[in-house]
Amino acid sequence: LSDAILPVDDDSGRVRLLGSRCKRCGECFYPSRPTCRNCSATDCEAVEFGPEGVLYTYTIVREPAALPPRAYGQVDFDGRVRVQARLVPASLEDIRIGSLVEAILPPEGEQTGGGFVFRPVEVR
Amino acid sequence: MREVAVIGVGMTRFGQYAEKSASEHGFEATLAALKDAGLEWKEVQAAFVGSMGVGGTVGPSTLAEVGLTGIPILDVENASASGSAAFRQAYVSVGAGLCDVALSLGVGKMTAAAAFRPGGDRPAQAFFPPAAAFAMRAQRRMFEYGDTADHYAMVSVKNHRHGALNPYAQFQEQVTLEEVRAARMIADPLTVLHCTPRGDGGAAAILCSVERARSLGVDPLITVVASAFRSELHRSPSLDSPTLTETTSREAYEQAGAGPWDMDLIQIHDAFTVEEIDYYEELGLCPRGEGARLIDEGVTAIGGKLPFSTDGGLLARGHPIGPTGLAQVWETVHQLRGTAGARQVEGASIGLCQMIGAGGVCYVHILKR
Repeated sequence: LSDAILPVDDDSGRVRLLGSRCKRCGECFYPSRPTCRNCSATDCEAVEFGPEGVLYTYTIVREPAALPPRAYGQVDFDGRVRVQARLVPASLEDIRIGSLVEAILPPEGEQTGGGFVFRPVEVR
Repeated sequence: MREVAVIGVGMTRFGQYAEKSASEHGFEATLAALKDAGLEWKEVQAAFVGSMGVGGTVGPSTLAEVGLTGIPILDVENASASGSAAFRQAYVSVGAGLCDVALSLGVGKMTAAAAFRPGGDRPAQAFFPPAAAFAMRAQRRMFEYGDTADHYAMVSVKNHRHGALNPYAQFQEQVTLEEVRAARMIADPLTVLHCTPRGDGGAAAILCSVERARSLGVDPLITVVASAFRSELHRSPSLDSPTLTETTSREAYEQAGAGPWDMDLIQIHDAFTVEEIDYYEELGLCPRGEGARLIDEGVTAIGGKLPFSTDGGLLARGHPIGPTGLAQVWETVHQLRGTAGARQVEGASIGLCQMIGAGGVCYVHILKR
């Protein structure tokens, strides 16, 4: 198991997630796995997800009270894998289930407990 | 498997006890169950003891205080479902004919547990409390099914109302909808009153063969008509497999030859309010997405058509982990005997107990008078 990521080559801080796909049943996983949790096959191939995905759900954690509130999101990639990480929107009031988000490297100085975070994709 | 009866139950009041060990809770619960069954300890032929994170061989050391009779004693651990696991193993042992009388005991001292606290090897800013996972479920339900945060708050109000009628509940005070809404927010939309409290306690049930129960003159005779135990299936955004509670309850209904609406009362793992709404659906009372209607219409309150969490549930009776599943059995046995006092479900003759353990596992037991 590893939370492998691959920075997108455009200085945007965006990352792709390196997962796995079962060659027998097609189920996908992130982080990648040597065996398939669905059919137990051991023949899995590498597959990349992101950086863009769809926000499936989220919450704002307000405990412990000494720390500032922080958001977490679960994001679906290609309708195949659901991945949870910190969510860093411009404003905590501005989080919408079903909206497009992208995986990015954690902001400098922020201890997020993971190698990437999600932020809403700005409407262009 | 031969038929198995539950002939004695006992528990300590769940709560926060600075001066009392898990073993002391277990000792008291065991003596209460023996007294309830009208048995002496030397008549018990095997014991199964559920706990999580208590440490040591809590089963043998706890029961050594009751008496060293040389019987097999097994510690079992299956997360929140550890007490249900102990019950299941006692059922299997008696049902298979390995013994005639078995004790299932659960103990817990969550006030001393380090689990679920910020720190460890992760930065505090990354602390993700258990409530957050269920808050995410709630947010998704609100988006997908149109539930409101008040639907979940109503579960808290109902279960605290039930708990106020239970002298063994950790919380015996009612709460109002306004109090649930205004309580400290843990993870949106769940305030602290949507979450099970931290607590300690012990609970026990004595199982025996129906043949032996008849010879003891047990009346009313309460039997285990289903014992189902499952672990998780793989689920993903592209693979909508049945949930743990769906697979386990269907197996239990088949064993019992009964369906969800045949039940007179149901106990569940309501560690967080939103779970109760999920389980209305997963236990098969209604299609997915329609559970909130049952709390809206009062169906699952005492006095309604199918009361849930009649002893206050994990939200009010409490959830010291090890004994929780056995507290559900304690409540169901009292309801089926007609000795549940102010919270009695009139004419109750069949009840279901569901417990979830992180990891994940699920147990469903159905008891019948």
